[in-house]
Amino acid sequence: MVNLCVRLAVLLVACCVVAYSQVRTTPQGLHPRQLKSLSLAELGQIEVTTQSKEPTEVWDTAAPIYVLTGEDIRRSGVTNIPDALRLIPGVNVARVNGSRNWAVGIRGFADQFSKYVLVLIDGRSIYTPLFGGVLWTVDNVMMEDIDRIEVIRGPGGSIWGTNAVNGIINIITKSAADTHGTLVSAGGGSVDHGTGAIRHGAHSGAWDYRANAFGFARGPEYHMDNQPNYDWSRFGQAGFRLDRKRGSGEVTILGHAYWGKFGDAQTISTFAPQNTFTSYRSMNTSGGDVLGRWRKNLGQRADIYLQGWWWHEHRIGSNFGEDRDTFDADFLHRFWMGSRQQISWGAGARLSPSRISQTVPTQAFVPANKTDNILSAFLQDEIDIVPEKLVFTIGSKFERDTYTGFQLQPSARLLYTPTPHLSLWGSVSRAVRTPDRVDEDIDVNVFVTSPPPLWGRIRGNHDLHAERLRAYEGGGRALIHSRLYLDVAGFHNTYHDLVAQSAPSISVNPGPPYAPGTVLVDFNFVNGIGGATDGGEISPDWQAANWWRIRSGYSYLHIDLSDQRGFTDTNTLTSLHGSSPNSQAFLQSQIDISKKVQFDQVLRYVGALHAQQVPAYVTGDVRFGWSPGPHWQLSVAGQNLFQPHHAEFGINPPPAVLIKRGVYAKLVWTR
Amino acid sequence: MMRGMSYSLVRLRSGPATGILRLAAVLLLCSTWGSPRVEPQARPAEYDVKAAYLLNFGKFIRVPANAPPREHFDICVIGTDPMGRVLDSLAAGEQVEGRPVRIRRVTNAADAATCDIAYLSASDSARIDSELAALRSSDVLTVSDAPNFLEHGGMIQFVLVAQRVRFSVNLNAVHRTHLVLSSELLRVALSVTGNAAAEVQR
Repeated sequence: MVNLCVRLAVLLVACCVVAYSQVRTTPQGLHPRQLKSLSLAELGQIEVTTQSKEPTEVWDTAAPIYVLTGEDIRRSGVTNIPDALRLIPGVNVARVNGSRNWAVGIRGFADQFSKYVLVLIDGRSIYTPLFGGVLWTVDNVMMEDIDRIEVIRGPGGSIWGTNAVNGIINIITKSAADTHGTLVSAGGGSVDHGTGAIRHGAHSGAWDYRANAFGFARGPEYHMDNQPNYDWSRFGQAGFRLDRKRGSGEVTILGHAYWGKFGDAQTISTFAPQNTFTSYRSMNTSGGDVLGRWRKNLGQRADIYLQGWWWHEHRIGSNFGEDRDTFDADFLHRFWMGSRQQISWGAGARLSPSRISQTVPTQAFVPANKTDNILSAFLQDEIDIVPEKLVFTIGSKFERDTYTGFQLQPSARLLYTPTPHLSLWGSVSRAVRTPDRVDEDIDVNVFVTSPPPLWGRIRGNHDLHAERLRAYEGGGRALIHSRLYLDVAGFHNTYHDLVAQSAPSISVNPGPPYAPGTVLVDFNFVNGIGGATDGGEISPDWQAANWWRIRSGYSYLHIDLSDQRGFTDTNTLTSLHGSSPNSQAFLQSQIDISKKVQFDQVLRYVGALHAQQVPAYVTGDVRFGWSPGPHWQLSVAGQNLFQPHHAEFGINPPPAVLIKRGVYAKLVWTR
Repeated sequence: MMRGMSYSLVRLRSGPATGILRLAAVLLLCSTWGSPRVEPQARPAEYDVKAAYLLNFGKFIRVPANAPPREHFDICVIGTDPMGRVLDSLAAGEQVEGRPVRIRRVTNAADAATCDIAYLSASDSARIDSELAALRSSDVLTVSDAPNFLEHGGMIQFVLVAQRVRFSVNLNAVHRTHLVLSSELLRVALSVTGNAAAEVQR
């Protein structure tokens, strides 16, 4: 017995010695101290992990920008982008069900068709002029490819253009140079039934490239008794990226092709006797995009940037279908005038022909085919009033679009950096949202009840003005301690001419196709709401210990909107007031238990949504990550753990679908 | 990179086929304890490699013969220090040309004028111009990972290429001082600019 113990002890010591010595002799010395013995040439051969981008670029921006790194996303255990956006202060995210769009808004106005946020993937706008929003279920990015998500709360009108009224979300993927090697990942769980991804990247001459493919199958969320589980999703996408960096120029080309099928339930109205039924026809989508970008450093701290992309979407569901192509070209030139002024200017053009396929007679767009076009230019001057301490930026975007003609969106910003650890900023801007196809062209008939037959009709308005925002914002960033970073922002936004439902006009017996004796309540869209929203966000980022990082954020929002003079009875007001939470908060804690084991937790609180009949909720997510070997990573995550299910947003047809507690496991292999 | 390590463990596991549960447990324990500090991808951190570079550069700088003799070889970090303790542990016990290496952390460039190497973090890129101006008349090797550091007049700029830390050199800036950089360093650089050499891409 003693002999065995001795032998085991010797073996233990021996293999540990072998392990250490193995490290010492490996040229890619992993321990920092091993780096000492390497030559310059050898140092240049080692692959490294890069630090997150945090305060560096964020510091010099006179706007409430927030960067969520790819590593923060990976450690939160989220499987899709809207769930990642929950970890950004000021962004309201509500999941509707397993297949419908998420309701995402910045500083209010979250809605499935939330119109006030511009979203870009690698510079390509995925904001659709159809309903003026983003279809998050269809626009997917492979999670492992995301380098970071940058969110600017507040109007970025001056550079980014129309519809960036309440904010911009910029999803940036890693350059091909950062994704060499092969990656295979597979996972499954109770809500995300299956996910898989594969990627391979390398370089050839001056080009770095990668190709990837990923897909997922998601199951339905929680339904009340007797409700069918219709909200499943299936999706697959393949893509590629090429980067070349030579001398002072950089070229990037990327492209994707996707296919998706989403289960759905829609209440369809028909003129024929049954009048109303629920259709469970799924929504089928497919499409793709190609983007090319060229940036050249002109020397003298000037650069030039040229980008063009094409995006094709095809979508057909139970209530309508759409085919849309979008062609876009943009140009930007930045240079220094003297030693104190940096000028940026540029121009862009976008053309988007679309065709609506009518699937039911009660829902149409008039006209069915339309081409949206936008011509834009911008000019911005960044002046160093006191170099490195006080910077004043003034600029404007000039746009001409299909619906509302010429729009001017000026903004002025001031950034004051009294010490290297503190920066304060303030800004005034004007932003504009132009009407979308739903606002302008829709013609929907909804059967309400019988007898006598009562119908509602909602029609678009071709005479709508653009919605306007004037934003007064301010904030500060401080590195309070080398381990504590604090970001604070506040805003007062005044809105005018927000699109709302008009007062109804009632007519009896309107004639065919309505049945005799029908009472028709007719609404159209008008620019009828104005008012203000106020609020703020505070987000501390604390490195509590070398192995423990805590990111958190608290957001407050107060909405005070009302009917503008001359308009009454707009149902939209109640919905606007009650669809965004007054306050919300999150806390993400990342613990490195050991070099190979990670334990991460997220705590989330979202205030009540009165108009959606959704109470406030607190819930949490937990993730364990373990690296059994250098090429393997295993993670197990539990989501929405505090309750078996909870409501986040209302839905039509009611009752609401509840978001359920889920767990999943994922295995990633890299080489 | 970790290939050597994992192969050794595989050999140990399949070696003595005695398959006692305790033996397997020991080996498993060993693989967890015996491995060095490592991230899931088994790669050193970017800033650890940059710290190693700073130490290494010292071997390739030739200081003018008439320079006043200094007791230490000072590597100074101006402002934010993203490298931390690693830099100190790498420098411990090291010598350059007979002078013991010392790490100093200073808040502004004026205090770095007597250093041999001065490093400016990318997070302080707003201050580059003022810091470099303060060091213009001193024989200090300026190093940074701030973007466009060379265009501002810096001497060595760290660049990340395909997840590897490389560096570029601005010879014009070096020639303004009495420093001379060894050709060995220039040979390994990613690019060398300046009127002493045409722009060279590696």
